[in-house]
Amino acid sequence: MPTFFPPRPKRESIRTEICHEISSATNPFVAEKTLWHGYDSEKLSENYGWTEMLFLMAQGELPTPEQNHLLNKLMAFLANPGPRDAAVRAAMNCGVGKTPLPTILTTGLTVRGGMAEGAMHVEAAMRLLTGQLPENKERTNSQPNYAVQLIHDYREFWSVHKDDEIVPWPEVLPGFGLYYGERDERTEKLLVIIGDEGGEVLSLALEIEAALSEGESPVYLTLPGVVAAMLCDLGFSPEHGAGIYLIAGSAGILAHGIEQLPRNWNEYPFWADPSYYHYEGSSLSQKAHDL
Amino acid sequence: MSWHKFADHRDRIVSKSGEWIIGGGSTLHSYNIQQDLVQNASWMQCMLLSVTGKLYPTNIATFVEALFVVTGYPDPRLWCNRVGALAGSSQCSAAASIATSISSAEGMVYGGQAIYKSSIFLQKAHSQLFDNGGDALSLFVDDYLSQKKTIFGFGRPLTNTEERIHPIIEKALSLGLNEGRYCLVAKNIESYLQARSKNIILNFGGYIAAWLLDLGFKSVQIYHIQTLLFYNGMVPCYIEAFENEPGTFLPIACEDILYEGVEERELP
Repeated sequence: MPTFFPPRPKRESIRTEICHEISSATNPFVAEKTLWHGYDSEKLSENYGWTEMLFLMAQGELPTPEQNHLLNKLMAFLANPGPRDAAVRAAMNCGVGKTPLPTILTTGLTVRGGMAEGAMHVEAAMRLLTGQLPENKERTNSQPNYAVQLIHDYREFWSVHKDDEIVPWPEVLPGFGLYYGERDERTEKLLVIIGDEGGEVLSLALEIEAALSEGESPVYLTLPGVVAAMLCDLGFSPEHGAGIYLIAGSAGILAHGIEQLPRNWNEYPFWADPSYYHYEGSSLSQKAHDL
Repeated sequence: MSWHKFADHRDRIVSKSGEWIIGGGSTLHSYNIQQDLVQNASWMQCMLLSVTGKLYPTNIATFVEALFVVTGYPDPRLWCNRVGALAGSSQCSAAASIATSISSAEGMVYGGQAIYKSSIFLQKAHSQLFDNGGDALSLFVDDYLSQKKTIFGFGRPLTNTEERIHPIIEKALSLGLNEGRYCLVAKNIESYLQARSKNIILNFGGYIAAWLLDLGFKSVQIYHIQTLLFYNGMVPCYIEAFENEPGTFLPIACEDILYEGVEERELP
């Protein structure tokens, strides 16, 4: 690579294993050639699709055709969380309020990041399913009661550490629960689409579900739980999994947000009628100057 | 549990915080905003009211404000400020840029998570000192350090000095406020660590957590209060970068990146 400047200290340099940009001979800031994990980025774009790039960036290797097929199916299933979803509604709120365009998408993505059904939940479920939540070096997934042990360990962990994080861990094991009060039917639909393409982690998730469904308050695998298991089986880390879950829903978030842009504010709900609003705070009228 | 629970909330907003009577006035935790708060309370008092539901006296609000002032450094090298500067240099809108700066300041290395976790740690340490004594506190700190390697609220990247604590002590005294038991715990831990040659100082995040605990705030309230802590430093970093020529904020040449990945290879 042509060099234009004296070397800089290593601690003041950005280090990466992902992208190698080779500068042009005449401009140090312009890349003449770019490698992604060793592959020429132009050749990659000519020969592969976007999900393959997603896989490559996260894992350093291209997926097998089977892995790419499965990832595509998963992301297609998640493409539109729908206009009732909190993330999509946040984007639509921005749209109808004529927020600067990029903020429509980023706002939706932020809301999709939460611990309830969101990216944080997927990350937590992936950590649980890969034995990281909580970490226990003595526990191995070859033991016969591994699923039951994971349930026990999580509950114990939660009782001690529930207040440790700025967004608390869910009381019910992440990836499991109910959807609007009942078994999450989306899970079954996705499992049908996956067919026999699931791996060991999905099998573990189903074992945990079997145990949890026999409890006094039965809960089941939820959509984020299946997604988490599939992403683990595809080799993604929990950190990447959270991001992939965000990205997968971005198509619907963006489209629904933009759809509201040309509409007037009164063409979108405000819940203006007083009958919608119930103030249940203190009825005592306090005065600041009495302080 | 069934869907009926959700049906009960359909088209029904329930608030304990306040309301806007459309065409009329509004309240915040039972205080009238237009007729009372705007005349008799500061922005910081209202912020604390919105977080806690309680209106705090002016000296406490002024003290919390001082915590915000003393750490509002307009230096774009600081991580969250740099996010704002990068957004400015990319000609992003102000609110989006500053929102990303604020979000990025929830870091665990500094900022939101560190302050929250520090307050949780100090509460546990407080119980050790006042329930079991100084030796128990020392044991607790040793155990914690051996397990976690670091203690939230102690130690600081880049430097082992903390220039923000002394001005806050002076400000507190001028407002008639004194450090309480949580500050004492924090300083005891710092002394213990220094005596153990750990050379780990009480950092400003830990000191904030201790002070706010002493003032009676809960950990979750401390977390909510501190969201805008670095705001004053972020805004100028964004503005300056926005006003400069796009892309001129710390541009990085290709050769500046240390590539540590695989060598060039052919597609499979």
